Amino acid sequence: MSTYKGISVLVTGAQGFMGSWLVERLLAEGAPVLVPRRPVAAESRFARERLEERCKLVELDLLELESVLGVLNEGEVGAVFHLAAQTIVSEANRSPVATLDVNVRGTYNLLEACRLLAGDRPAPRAVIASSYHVYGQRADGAYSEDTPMSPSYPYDVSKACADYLARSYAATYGLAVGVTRMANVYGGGDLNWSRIVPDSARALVAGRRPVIRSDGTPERDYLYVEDAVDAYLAVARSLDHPVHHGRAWNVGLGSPVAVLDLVRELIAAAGSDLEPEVQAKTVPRAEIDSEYLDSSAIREELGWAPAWDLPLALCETYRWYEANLV
Amino acid sequence: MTTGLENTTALVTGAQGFIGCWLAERLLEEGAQVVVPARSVEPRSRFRIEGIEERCDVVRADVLDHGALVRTLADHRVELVFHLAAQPIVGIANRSPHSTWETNIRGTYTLLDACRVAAESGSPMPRIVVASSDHAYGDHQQLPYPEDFAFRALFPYDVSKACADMLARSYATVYEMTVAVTRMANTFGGGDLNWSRIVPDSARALVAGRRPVIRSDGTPERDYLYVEDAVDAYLAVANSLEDPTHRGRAWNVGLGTPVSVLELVRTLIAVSGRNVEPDVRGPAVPPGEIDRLYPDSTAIREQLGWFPRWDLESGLEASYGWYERYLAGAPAAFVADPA
Repeated sequence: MSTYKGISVLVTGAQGFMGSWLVERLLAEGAPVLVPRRPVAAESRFARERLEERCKLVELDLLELESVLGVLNEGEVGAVFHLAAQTIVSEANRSPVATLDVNVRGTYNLLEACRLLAGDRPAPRAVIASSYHVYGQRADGAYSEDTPMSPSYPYDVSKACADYLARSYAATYGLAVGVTRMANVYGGGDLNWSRIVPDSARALVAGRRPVIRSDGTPERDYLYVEDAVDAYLAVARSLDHPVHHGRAWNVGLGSPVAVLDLVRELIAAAGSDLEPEVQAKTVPRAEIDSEYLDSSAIREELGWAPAWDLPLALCETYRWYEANLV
Repeated sequence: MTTGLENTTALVTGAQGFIGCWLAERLLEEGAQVVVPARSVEPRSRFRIEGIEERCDVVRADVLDHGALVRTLADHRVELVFHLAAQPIVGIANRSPHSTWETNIRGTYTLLDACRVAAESGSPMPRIVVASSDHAYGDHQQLPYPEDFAFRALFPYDVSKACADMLARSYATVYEMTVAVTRMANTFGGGDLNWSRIVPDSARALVAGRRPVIRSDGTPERDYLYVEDAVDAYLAVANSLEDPTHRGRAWNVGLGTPVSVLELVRTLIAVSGRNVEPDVRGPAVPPGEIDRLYPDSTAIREQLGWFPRWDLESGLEASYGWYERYLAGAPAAFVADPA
């Protein structure tokens, strides 16, 4: 596919887990990739895969509209994938303003810069990473894109705000914006140790029992990172058609998996015979009980389909941690 | 109503604006100290010319300045916060979304967080009322809107209020703060100098002997609320926060009867005593605006005992009287047809 040949693509959040995979794919497709200069942790996938050398580094401060405008303008950016966010729920609860600044202000600055650039040439198209968290704590079952948002925790609210903001730019100004609401994405390179897959993989690499902080029953929809990358690219392509501007797309496998089952599957992938250590008798505060995404819209309308099933993807994921953790 | 406001200290953001000045005035009458974050004041605003400003304690603390807000809350030992500062005009939000996001979204979370941080450092946790709007609901087919209706906000002003509303309720839930939200219908009354709005614009035209202009075809329906009833509702919601079950609640406030723009303007013409017809110019719905919008205000009536003391006609009569007096003393340019 050569959709991106010669079109400069800005990826915010490139140094993060999801971003590193997306950047790698965009580079493979021949896109010139711009990434904001950020400190890169030596152990990150972005550093290990030496992705920085292959990208053009730009000075971008998402909290300054002028800075965003300058980068989009001078870089002749044709497409933006906006993944930069403070993504850890507990961190958002502790310091809400920092999270709201990055996730909400950063998003409206980016959207506004795109709007202001529309004129001589088309405004950059933008894919904005929202999250399934926008649906909040609702009755069990599948969330479709029409399910009313009902966020309560600061991270969830920050994503709901970003989601509304993105769609308003499409509805009001005709900006080519798409929104993704992805399930829990996992895969090699995720160093957020408060998440269940990285934490369990690290324990298994060290020969320890994976710890489950809840009672193991909360159910989630999990998505392998390469399938997530496919979805980002499918949504970006959908913006060729104005009818898709301002759409939000759920992306998940569509079947809920209990945390306990997920960890057991990872243990199997590691070829280990350890048992998970289930710590709690209840579901922790700030977590939602059971949820999964109805992703039929992106499957049917954009032809996206997950290429990885859970056991295969967890094998691949475990191999990364095994090779990269000492 | 027993307000128990004597000797309490209230912070009112947006007191320089239309509803804010009426609220500040009432709080002062009830014996409260009123602290107001400074912002530019229209020299001919009601806040200034009716002497409200000089009775308030105007402090240098921008709503985007977290540190200054924390200090203000602590230094004044603020017990009540009314957050009304906002960019309130739909058309301006469409033309200038960014400044609307800054004031309406960032201003809201900065103030909420300042209250959280101030309380963590030993100041009292204030009771906080955040002004959302019935616009947060966006466009629904089913009318009227109860409070648990999903937000379908799509245009910038509506989205800014939906975000502020979600943020306020989040702070109430997660940090157990005494926060509630008001979603008021279109509020009118003396002192509203936003001439792009139908009541001020029409009143000004009538005072000058011109025909009021309706930019739509006159059919869009809204619920309206007289400003003194809006002030009653703010105080009722602030009072309600003593009851923990009311924390994090959102309250619709309106007369509860949808009124078309044409009907509203005709009523205003009637109370003005002028013998003119409105000049209906526009398409059905101007772009970027909602067609029919009215909230169901049953909850605040039944649970908080609030009720409107003014009907549409008496409210418009009081409003028209204010504009007549105000514009009589105004420079000619103020009364002139902006077109």
